[in-house]
Amino acid sequence: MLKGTLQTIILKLLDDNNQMYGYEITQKVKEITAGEMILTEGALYPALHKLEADGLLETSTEIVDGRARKYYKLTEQGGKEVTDKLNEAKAFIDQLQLLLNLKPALNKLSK
Amino acid sequence: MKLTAEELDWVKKRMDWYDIKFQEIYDEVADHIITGIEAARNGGDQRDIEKVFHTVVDNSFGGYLGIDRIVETYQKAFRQRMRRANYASYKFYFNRQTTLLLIFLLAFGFYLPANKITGMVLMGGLLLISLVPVVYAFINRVKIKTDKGKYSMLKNYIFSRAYLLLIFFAALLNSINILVKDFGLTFLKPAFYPAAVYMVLYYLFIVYGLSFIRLYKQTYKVASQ
Repeated sequence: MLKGTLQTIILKLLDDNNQMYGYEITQKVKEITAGEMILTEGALYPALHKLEADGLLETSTEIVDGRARKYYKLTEQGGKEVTDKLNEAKAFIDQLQLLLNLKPALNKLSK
Repeated sequence: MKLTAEELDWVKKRMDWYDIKFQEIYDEVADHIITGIEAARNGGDQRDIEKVFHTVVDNSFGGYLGIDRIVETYQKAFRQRMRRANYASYKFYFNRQTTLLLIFLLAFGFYLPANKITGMVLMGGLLLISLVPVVYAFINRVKIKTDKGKYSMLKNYIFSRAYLLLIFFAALLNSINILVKDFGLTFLKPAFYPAAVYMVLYYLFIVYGLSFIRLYKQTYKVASQ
């Protein structure tokens, strides 16, 4: 996974689902990508905690089945950041697409 | 499928091996592991709890080191978050109104006589102001449930901030005492200070107290949601 995309994925998921807990996020990524992308907890939690420290996420704790469950949701600032991050990701994918499509053409030119 | 009480007890005992001191991160990791085990059970994995536990921990967290890394990054992120919140609170109170307060205090101090009694009264006032954060934190304390041997990172942080002003005040008095008695620097006796010095200290102590109360309210508002 490219650096920075994990944060975009988390922000987008939370934008779509209001609030989620860690395990739920990993399962959602697995479900959406039909198991092609596995989000490890070793990467997920540091990213969640960083986003929280940056003020993009806020947390709340609920007691579920007798144990504390921490939910993450977007702050107002986080909500604004989603659009920016998605635009950045789209621009990057467009550039990548352009580069990859150009490659065969460049090969032909060099021959 | 929910785990049995015995299985939950086993998981909790096993998790003690990881030596996670702080309740907040312990709860998050424990919930993740237990949810993972429940999902594995729902998926048909009926092996012994020990085996399922290790599968979940190894696959999800990359074993012991993975959990250790998460705890470390959590602490770092927590400190960063609190630093930002602290800075925002100070910034909020270093404003036009408190600048006016400083001017008023300085003007008031100008009319105060510079003698021993004034010095003692003003010093007593500083002591009272430095007690405000501690008293506020105790009166409004929010009960954060922690397991045996675990601490709340949030509570530890808030109470360390509550005591900071009092500790600073005590250290200041102690340093002055040493300098006056052991080094003979009698001009440092609080009775000789112009009232303006006290007024600046009053201003700084008041701003700290107000910032602390704001930080406390915001932090516990978020924590108790």
